[in-house]
Amino acid sequence: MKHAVTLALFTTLSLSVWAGPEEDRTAFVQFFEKRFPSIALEEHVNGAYALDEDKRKQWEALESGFPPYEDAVFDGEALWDESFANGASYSDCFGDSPAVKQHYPLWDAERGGVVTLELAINNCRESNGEKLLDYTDYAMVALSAYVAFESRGEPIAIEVPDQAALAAYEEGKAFYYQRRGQLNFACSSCHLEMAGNKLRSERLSAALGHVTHWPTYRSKWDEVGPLHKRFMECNDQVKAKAFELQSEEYRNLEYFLSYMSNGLPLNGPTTRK
Amino acid sequence: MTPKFVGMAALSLMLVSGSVLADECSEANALIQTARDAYDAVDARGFAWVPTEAYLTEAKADSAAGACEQAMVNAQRALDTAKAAMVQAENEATAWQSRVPK
Repeated sequence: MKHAVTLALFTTLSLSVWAGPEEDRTAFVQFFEKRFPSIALEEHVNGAYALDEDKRKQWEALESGFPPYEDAVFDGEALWDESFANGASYSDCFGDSPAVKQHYPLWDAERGGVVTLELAINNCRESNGEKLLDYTDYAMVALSAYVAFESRGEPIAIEVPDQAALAAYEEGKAFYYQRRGQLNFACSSCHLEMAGNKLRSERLSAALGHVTHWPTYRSKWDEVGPLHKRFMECNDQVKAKAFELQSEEYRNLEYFLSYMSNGLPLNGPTTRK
Repeated sequence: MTPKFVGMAALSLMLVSGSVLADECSEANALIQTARDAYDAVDARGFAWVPTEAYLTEAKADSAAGACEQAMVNAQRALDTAKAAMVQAENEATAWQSRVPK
């Protein structure tokens, strides 16, 4: 009897920890529904501005004028329309419409890894004999800003198609909840457990919807930058050694986080403090 | 006191003080290497801390400047933070699971 109880407990715990992506997402969404009962789920795509009325007014004023990411979108469109030296273009890799961000990151079974939009842009360039772009290069940021802009309103639709993809998803999930750095913080410490609270003068945003608005113009950076740059910054803030942009660790993390926001509409690029 | 004697005495003094200095810094250098190995091990697990690398850099600079005592201090700090990071890495191999919303 004692063994049976132990086995039942172990099984229950194991199932809850190793629940599939959809069970994870449901629990994740329910967590935020319970935490912020008066805030519609879709509002979380606006990050901390969904939780702080004063900051939201300032942000809306900035967005309604001449948002500082506009140049990147225009420049990205021009780059997207340019032909490569071999006569091909991005459309040959991504299809006629640039509104594809909702499908990224995706699992590439052939390459055996998670492919983000930025990596897909470089893969496209490589397959057409073009020089790879650095992930902080303005051209890369502009191209991804244009794709994000064209994808506005599209619901995120990330898939975990097989066991190898599931392993990458699980890696990203573990990363999200693992404490790191000398300050001993996990991503979830701030954006799940403490979401909505204030950290000095800043309101901590909810993890739900965190991936919907990238690349983003951050006042702190004084430029438009990618999500992985923010990951690096977060790691650095807790005194953890950051990983490289587009490292496997960050791609898997983006994969997990994007899956958690499945169904939420894209709203990038945008502005953040 | 012949010039030869003075020369020999000066040379002896230089050799003695040089070997003492080398001995002190070799101890620091050994500690720096130990800390570097500990840092590399935790870095391979993805849990390296920013201050460890800073302490290692400072320790190496101290050693190169002959500030062996300060090199020991910084090398020890590097080792302590690398060890603490490894404890974190080992703990977080499973502890994260308790934070997943159910």
